[in-house]
Amino acid sequence: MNRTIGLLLLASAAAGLLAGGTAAVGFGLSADPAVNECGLQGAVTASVDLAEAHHIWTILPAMGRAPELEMDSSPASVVVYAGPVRAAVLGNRGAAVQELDNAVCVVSSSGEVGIYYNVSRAGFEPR
Amino acid sequence: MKTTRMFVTALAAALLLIPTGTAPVAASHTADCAEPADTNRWTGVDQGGQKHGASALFNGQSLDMCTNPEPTWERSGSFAFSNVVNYSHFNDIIQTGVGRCRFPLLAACTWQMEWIATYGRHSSTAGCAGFTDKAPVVYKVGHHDGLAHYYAVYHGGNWWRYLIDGNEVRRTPDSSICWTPDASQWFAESLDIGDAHGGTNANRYRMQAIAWTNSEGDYSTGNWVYASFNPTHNCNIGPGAPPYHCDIVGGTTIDIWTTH
Repeated sequence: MNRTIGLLLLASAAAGLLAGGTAAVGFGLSADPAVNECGLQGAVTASVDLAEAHHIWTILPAMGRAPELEMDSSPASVVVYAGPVRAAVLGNRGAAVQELDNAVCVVSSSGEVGIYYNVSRAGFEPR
Repeated sequence: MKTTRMFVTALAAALLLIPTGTAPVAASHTADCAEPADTNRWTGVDQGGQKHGASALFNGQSLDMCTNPEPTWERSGSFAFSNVVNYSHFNDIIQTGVGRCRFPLLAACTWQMEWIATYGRHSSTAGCAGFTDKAPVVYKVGHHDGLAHYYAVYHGGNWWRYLIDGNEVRRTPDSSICWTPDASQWFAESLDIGDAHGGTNANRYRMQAIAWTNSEGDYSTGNWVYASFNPTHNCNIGPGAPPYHCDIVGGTTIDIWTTH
């Protein structure tokens, strides 16, 4: 059910001007708290509320395993991103890439926020 | 049951995006912000083996970020972590630590010193085929108080646990960690080449009481093995060249500092 029309405020152009043109990817505030909680910079395709986090495979049936979601029965919001997104990625020594393709963010009311990427969109059904 | 929200894009006033936190004072061991080719840097030590925990006492000083950031966009951060890792992919990590970062709109990046606990995995790593790639992004679990604390990750009771002074601040089911640990590590990490690792030459960032576990168990009773690093050896994680420095100063102790 379509519940809310959110307002995603992309400020890449304005930010680029003010920041001397260095902002390569747009970023902005959203009326959707889940989008803000995720903290990724990139265009959003959809944000979907789930009664239980482990229902995520009903909208992203080709998404790979994620045991932390499989066992999470808390309500959750799923944010699906349209293209590459920028993220503050930590990690093991090596080259931690700060731009993620096919990203999905899950904000669970359990308190967990997960950033997933390379998530297959095959069969993606946001409704 | 699910509901869908679709989004309409529009330009926003960029001034709204300036973080509300207080910017750290410029320090001589940092440099002007200059994002490189989107890679991080590390300095610290590694202890190989199939580990089930890593712990150390970090001193309480602040970690400084690069200077002269762009007013509305800057991806920078300076951190210190206890970690368990698999060498195959940089995602394959469990880490507890402290640090600060700038990242527009990311709630965890407040510009202030925060406690951080995060993990990740990559489907290309042995044991992880069929899993979704999960990025170890900055994840705040509390606000740093400027004091020294023990930071640990620990595998016990079918959970990977993130602990500060022995208090669990987050937990992850061990089924989510599809990779097999290759090592415990303790390092400083930064996002921008102008960010500092650790402290200054005169006030070095110290990690001490470095210890690991070789088997799953109970944190409090502990099967901790204390490090016995050779002070004549070099730290084995890091660029090994200025401006980032690391020195093994004792069997269980390292110092990390930056001289930009």
